[in-house]
Amino acid sequence: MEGAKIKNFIIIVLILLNAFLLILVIMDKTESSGSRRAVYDDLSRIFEDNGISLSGVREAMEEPTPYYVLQRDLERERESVLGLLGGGETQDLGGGVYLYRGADGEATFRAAGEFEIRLDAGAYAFTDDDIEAEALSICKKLGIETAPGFTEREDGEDGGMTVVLVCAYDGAAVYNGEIYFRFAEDALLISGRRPLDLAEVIESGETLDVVTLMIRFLNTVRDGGKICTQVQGMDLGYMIETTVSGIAELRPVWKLATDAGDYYLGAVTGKVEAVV
Amino acid sequence: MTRGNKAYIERCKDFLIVLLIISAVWLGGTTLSTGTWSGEASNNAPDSAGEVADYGMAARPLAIAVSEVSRSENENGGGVERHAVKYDEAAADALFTLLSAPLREALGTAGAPERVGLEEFLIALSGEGVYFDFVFELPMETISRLLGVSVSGETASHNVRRILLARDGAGTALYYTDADYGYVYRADTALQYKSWLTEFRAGGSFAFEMGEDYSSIDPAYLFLSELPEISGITVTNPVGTLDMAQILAAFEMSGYVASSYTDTDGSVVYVEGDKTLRVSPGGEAHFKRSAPETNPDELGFTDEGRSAAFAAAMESVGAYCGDARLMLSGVDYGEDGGCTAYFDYVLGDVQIVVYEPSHAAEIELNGGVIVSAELYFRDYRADGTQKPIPEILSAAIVTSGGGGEPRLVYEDLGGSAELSWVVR
Repeated sequence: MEGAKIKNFIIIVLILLNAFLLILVIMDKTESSGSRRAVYDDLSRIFEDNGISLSGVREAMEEPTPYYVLQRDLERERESVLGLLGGGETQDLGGGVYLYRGADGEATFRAAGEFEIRLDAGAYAFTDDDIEAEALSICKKLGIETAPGFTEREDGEDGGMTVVLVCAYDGAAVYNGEIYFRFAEDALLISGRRPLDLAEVIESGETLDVVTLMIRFLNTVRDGGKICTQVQGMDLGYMIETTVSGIAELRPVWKLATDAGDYYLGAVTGKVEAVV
Repeated sequence: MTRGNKAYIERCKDFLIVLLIISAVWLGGTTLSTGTWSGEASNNAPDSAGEVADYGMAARPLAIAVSEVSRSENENGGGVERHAVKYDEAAADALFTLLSAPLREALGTAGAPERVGLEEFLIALSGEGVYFDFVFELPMETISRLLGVSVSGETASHNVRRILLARDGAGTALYYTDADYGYVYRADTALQYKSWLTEFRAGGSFAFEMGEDYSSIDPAYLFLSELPEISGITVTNPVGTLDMAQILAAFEMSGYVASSYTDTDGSVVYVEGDKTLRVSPGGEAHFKRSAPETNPDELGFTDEGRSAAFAAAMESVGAYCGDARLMLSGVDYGEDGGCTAYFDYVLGDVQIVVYEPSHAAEIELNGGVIVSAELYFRDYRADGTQKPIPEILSAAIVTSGGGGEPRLVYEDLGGSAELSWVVR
């Protein structure tokens, strides 16, 4: 009986403790949400004083911005490429360059993610309606994630057709990770750059917060004499960058959509960057 | 209530207690990580594996030129457009970051080199290509490893100063000059040549393109169309500001374990086991330890030794040099399988010449381990700008003196440093 009373007492104490901690958690979330709202309001006011309206930025303030070091998984690469080429052999050319030759074509893959593939006629679908789906299917076979909404298509005068896709990583677009598919009767030529197979998060404390980034962008607009009256949205993506030592990194980059065009802000540098 | 029901209720209570404890721990953890007791909320993902040391920039070329066929029609019917960078650290950093990838691929896929004549090299220089002048003479193997690739065979054994990636049809030929004997070598590569630059700004010409008046200048010397702004310089002795725990750690000594004493000349000596580090008031430091048993797998300037040498140099003299940076300036190989790596100071891509001692750091390795080091701590600051005499004029002076190559340097005279042209 005594034991039962002690258990009842413990249960009551634990319920009270849980209630107290739950109230604290709710208060913390409300407070941080409130302070973020206040910061956003201040930022909006600063932009409005400079003749620029802000929208689609508030949500960006809550996104984490991880920064990745990429590594190549040669086994996975070989399996996917030879699978696309219908089996074949691999040749190491040195310098991280591998040549793959198969029944349906050949491919060259480089250390930092650049590649070229040539598929022979008959190894790919080539009808007007199918080429975008075929391009997506090939990316899937190669294990390359693609960003929705970035597909472009161009029809050549010679009857050839080009589809451009943009790679993605973990759902975010890799802005300089474009892949070109040049469809023709006799061959499909694919070239581009992909994020490598394995990614490891590196120390992410160096990325700037969104407010600092936006203030730097405002200074860039003012100093550059650019005409911009509306920021329409802010999306997190990446750019592939290779260091001098050959280490490939996925750097977080914010794409700012404005009425004066798109700007790409480096999350580490805070500077407007070109997509290269 | 039956005994069975009571037992069931007690078990339910036990389960509820466990659930409430887990819930309390989770809520407590959430509170600590996001709010009241944690300080500011972080907007970033959790950190993880840490950063990889990247010393590629410590052995990059100090002069780079990119030559391409002119895209515009002109009265000469087109020719080669050249973009040249020298004595401009920021521009060279940016350009080499862009060009390191093709250089890496060319070195990594280079075939067996064959010796060619100087004339063939100069013809290749005057055509489309990318030219790198490291100014310092470095082992090709070291340049390659710092770029993340390996070269093998005869190429790896050469000390080089100049490398050229020359268009060869659709492909690329690798040329380099062997610094020891002055020979030129050529090798085929698997690199497909393409235009790596979209914009050409600063121009330049090689000495051999500038006519008879410059025939006594090194033919591959790169003249700029216009010198960039050159910094003024001040120099101080940073010994009083050294964090000795950091310096000791650079040589795998511990500030807690090492004993120290002050010598009669004012030098402070740190001793830990067989390791000794002496730091003099004038900024010179000497490290010594007993040589380990030679590891036959670690002869020469191996990856392990190179990492140790770079880390020690960067974390000692490299951490106190102000606006200057430390560059690898040479590697000598000993007969016992050891080697010595040399580092020098550079400010704005202008070499700083020190006279006594003659380098910022000399690090001797044996079996991949640092066995001795000579360091010279100096703090250099950029101070305004200076206008040296024009490069063309300095070349004329070199010519009248018998020929060679003009080089812009800062000379560290002890209490001050001066910008001057010297003859190489």
